[in-house]
Amino acid sequence: MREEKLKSAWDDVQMTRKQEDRIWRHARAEVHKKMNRKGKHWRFLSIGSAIASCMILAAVIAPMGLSLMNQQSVMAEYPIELPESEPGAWKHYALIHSAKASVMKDVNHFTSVISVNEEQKEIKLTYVPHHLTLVSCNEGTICTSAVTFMGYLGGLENVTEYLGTQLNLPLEGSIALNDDARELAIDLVDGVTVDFAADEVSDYLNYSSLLWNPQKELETYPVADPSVKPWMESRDGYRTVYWCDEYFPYRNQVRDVYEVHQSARCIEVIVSVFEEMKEMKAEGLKASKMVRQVIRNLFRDMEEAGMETDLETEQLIDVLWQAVRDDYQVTGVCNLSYCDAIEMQGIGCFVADWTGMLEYVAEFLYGEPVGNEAETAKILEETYEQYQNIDHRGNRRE
Amino acid sequence: MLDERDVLSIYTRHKNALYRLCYCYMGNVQDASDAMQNTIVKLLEREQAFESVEHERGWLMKVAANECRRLLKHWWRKREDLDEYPEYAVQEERYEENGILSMVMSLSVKYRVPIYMYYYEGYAVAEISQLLHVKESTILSQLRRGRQKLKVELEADGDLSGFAHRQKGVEGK
Repeated sequence: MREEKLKSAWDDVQMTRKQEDRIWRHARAEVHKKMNRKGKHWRFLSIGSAIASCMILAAVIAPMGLSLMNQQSVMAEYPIELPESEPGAWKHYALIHSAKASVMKDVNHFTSVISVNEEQKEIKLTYVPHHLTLVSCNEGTICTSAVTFMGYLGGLENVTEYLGTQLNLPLEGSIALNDDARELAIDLVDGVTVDFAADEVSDYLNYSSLLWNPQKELETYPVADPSVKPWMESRDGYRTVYWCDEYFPYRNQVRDVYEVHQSARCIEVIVSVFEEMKEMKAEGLKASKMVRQVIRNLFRDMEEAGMETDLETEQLIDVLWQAVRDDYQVTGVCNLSYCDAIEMQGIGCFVADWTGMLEYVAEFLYGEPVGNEAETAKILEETYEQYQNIDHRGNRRE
Repeated sequence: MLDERDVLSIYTRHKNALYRLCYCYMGNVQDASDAMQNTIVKLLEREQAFESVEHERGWLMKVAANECRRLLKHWWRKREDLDEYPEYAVQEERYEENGILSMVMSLSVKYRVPIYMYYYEGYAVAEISQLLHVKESTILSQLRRGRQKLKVELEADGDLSGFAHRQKGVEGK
């Protein structure tokens, strides 16, 4: 009987005529609006196309050792809400790894959940298709380096080996998760597999070329109420500047995360520029020539050091200036070392050079706000020293 | 792009199945309508014609499922509990007056969607697997677990007749 009822359970789920009409009308209006917008913003799309072309070019020459424009982003998020398997004992942290080697094909975004049991000094790793996962073309492969880093912070020395044993996985730079582990991960967060089509990726890339334009963001992804900003302050009061690379389509959905550039010096300079800008704002000034010069020098230094950036001076100023204007705060910055094209295939180096990021991570792991400066500094110094002795594959450096 | 009249007739042909799928994912009328609208936008933007009605339906179901999953993963769903913002609260409309629907809808999305597609739409496991981009074995286990969960609900409700029989039938399909 029940089965019969199940077969007809959705019979009542039907749109009203009014609802049907409204959906049709709104959909048509949306498409017309999009078409008009494309016309008006050809400039942005051209920039998008140019960027895309450059990245495709980069993908072609990258295997030859010229890793032009490759950039890897490793981001950490606040602990996501997961059911506690053993209440009180495990803490879960999400790490999002995105390694981008080209625009259309080799866009690898991975998310793993790292579960830390402080009492038993154990760490579990699970791969999770996450809302920030864009395309997992190497699905089942994750970057181990950031995990290793987190493992060290968590007090587990041989995290790679542990993970290998625990999940019965090969200890290569990348880990292929078996079905059981994946199932576990999926169950854990009740997640769903992400399967964007290639043309959708392309759409997002075009969209993301509308760099830091809140109005455009709202038009593109309207929220329920226009007064709700996509970057609403998190409930615990953190507001963070996020300077994700401009191809990252979900950058405005990433909050309380900071980004990511190629050198510690770069981060230092950016933070000092940011501070400088805050003072300027207080004095009612705009970004000065001096700030521009500082950033130009920074990019020049990076170039001389063999590093590359795909941001222009003015873009960086825009990003920072907007952040200053909106009273964002830097709560964490992580710095990412540059990887060559081969290592970009799912593996990368993760180097946290700036204390802010370490503080940020420490706050997660030690479960308390970074209030005791001396104590925190000590922990950070130790963990940082530890980390410097590990290479990106999790091996101890000679 | 497809001609608007063609799109309208496609919409008319598949609107109920699409809407039910969206409702199954989203769990309320408002969100289901949003997902539905986004799906129709994608349809209006589509360049190529469909090869057949089956092709149309398969494409639409896939797009609608993706759209629902995208909405479910949207940042503000993940990040903010809107119950804490009464000023933005909307009275959600649902259809769960009938008992069995209410039971199915109380299951997690990953169970209720395969159950809907299998039992109501009559898709085979292999077809569901294709449409949802999930392995057949996963669909089977989701159906199995979903049924187990439903069974608990049904036991509480005191009516199990017919359900176990169908359970056996699924694996053989």
